[in-house]
Amino acid sequence: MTDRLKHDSVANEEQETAALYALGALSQQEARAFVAHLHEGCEACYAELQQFSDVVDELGVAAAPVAPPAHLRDLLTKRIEKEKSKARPEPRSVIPVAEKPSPIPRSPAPARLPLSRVLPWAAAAALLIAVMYTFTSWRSERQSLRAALEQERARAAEVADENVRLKEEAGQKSELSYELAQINSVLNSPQWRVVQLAGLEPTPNSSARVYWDVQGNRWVVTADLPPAPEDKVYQLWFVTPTEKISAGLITPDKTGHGFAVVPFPPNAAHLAAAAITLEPRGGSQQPTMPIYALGKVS
Amino acid sequence: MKALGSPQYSRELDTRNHDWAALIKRVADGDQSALNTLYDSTSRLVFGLILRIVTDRSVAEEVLLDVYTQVWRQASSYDSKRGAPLAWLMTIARTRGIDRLRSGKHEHQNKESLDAVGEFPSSSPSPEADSVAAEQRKLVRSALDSLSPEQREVIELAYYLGLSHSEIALRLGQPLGTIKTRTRLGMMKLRDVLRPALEGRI
Repeated sequence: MTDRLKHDSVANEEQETAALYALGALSQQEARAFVAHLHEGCEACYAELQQFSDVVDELGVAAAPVAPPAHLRDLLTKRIEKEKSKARPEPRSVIPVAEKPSPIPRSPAPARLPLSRVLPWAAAAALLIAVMYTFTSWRSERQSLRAALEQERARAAEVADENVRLKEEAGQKSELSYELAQINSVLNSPQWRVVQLAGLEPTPNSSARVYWDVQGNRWVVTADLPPAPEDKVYQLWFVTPTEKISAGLITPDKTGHGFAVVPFPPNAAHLAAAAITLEPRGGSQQPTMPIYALGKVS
Repeated sequence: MKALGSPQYSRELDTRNHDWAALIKRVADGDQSALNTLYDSTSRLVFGLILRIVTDRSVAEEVLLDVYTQVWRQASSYDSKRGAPLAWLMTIARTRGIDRLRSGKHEHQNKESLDAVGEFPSSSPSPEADSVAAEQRKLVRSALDSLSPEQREVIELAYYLGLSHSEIALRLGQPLGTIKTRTRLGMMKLRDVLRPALEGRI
């Protein structure tokens, strides 16, 4: 990759990179570098990638169709029945604000290893460059892409800052590396989102961040909160349009830093927000006002 | 709207995409019968791709179940603005197929030639409903045929086996630069040949 930030037309080298990226044939490092280049706003490379991605989308039908054995259909039905009994899917509710619906996880799935060279996403621990799954297989409109790129870039910068901050904090090295490993595992997963929570009235300086592994159905949560009073504890909430589901408790240490990994509840409908409240020891069934930190899912 | 193949093909393709997108929406709403219908309409195409990737039939059967289970779970994440329903299904199938392939304990090293793997006869004759799929396949295959054998080989190794450029270079005993050039030229050729068909779609 060249050092130029942008360029009006693509040279052979850039075209090679876009084609290889679309096929998932770049190395992790090269993929990251290419995505970083795209994040700088290179429209020429983005256009190349978009076209090559369209080509890759078509290749699947080249394989001859083969009828699967009939019993598989029954097996599938049985498996779906099991999924349904584990999770009660609710009818999709209308979200007033969101343009694109958030994915509805139907039931907890075991975390899968990322396919870093098939559909190349990567987030380097050192660089923390955000990768967008959408590039490889989907087209998207230019304006929303630009806005999304800006957002992802800002998030990546924040995440980079946070990791530097974490690294610089004294002591507890093994805990830190566990946390970093968890965060990176989300950033390395095929589909992830970040929900930033801002502190509200009671603790305006507090904040939290949810790294949401969408496909693996879990939240990795970091939080900065003032210490809770003796008889109280902080509780996380998945907020949907119809209900608030507990996402477990989070306890900040002496420095005010809290960390938690929670599985996504199987019966959650559209996630609208993440929230933190202060509850009596042991937590509550429903959140107690006021909300201490809140982040809306965009 | 230009398309290789007839204007009728384009219309039928649009209709089919529209129907499948509607099915996916119903699946997202929890309609299991919609999933069954989608399975009936698409499983031959999807299974064919999975078999091409993993080659082992029993593994392919497991992956097929995984794919449609994932469809059930993530139907609400499908957005028709971003791509055709079949492309979405194929992407899931390819991802899971290569995942299985690379994590599998028995790699079918003896299946060196992709051509040997390519042609599995369908056990049931294709009904009229598959005419759009047949046309689509014809288009993509003729596009692949327009490539040189070397270009086709590198693209198929990347697509069906999920190999990186350096793995391909190693496997073929070729310099990395050669592999990259072949990929670029091959993909450009495919893009040019498929462009009229691709432009006709949204």
